[in-house]
Amino acid sequence: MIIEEAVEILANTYGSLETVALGLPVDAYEAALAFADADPNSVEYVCLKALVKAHPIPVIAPEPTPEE
Amino acid sequence: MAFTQVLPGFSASLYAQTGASPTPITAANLSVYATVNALCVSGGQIPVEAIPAFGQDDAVASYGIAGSRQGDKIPVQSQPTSMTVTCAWNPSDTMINLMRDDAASGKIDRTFIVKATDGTNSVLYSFNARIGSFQIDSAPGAEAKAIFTIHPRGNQFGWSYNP
Repeated sequence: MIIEEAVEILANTYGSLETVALGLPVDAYEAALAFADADPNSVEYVCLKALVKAHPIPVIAPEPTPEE
Repeated sequence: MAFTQVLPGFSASLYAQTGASPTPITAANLSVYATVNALCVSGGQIPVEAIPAFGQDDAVASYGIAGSRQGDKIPVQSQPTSMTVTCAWNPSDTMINLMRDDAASGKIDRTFIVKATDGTNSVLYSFNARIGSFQIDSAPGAEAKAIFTIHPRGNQFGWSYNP
């Protein structure tokens, strides 16, 4: 799902933003990028904040170094 | 958005959408200052005597965990708190009559806003709610009061600050 569609759904819901955001399959990186560019005084910012919270960028742990 | 201004002495006012069949603001827009501040107009002000406590209830779900010294108190059930407000009863006041009609209906959702301001900066607490009761207290010796309770809908509230 593209970010704009997810934001539109969130902007028009009367349900819990966190719960609705969990059910929207968006790319975490795209959501984070859009959130970084969003105007803090806009509804997009509120929606993207919920999306980023529901879909955090996965933290990939470094490979353990083999013991010598 | 960060808000760094302390409101040392502020006054609070209660506003509501006007009209008999309002379309309440969506959940996300309740946190957008420009959207909700547009509803804070004199025609939408409810002439309350005082603003009661507003925010969220202190309801928690408590869990005991076997073998653990401490349990969990998780505020999953915390909900926007109901507000019982008192107005001097003016039978021709538009907003008081709207509250009376909402109470009679029991199924009209309306956006309410508590606006706290120090004259320059404002904090808005916005929520969608229904009116749960409406009573007239016409005790002799004092002016008649209109007393009603605003019951917020779950998950439909937001905070915003003037940018």
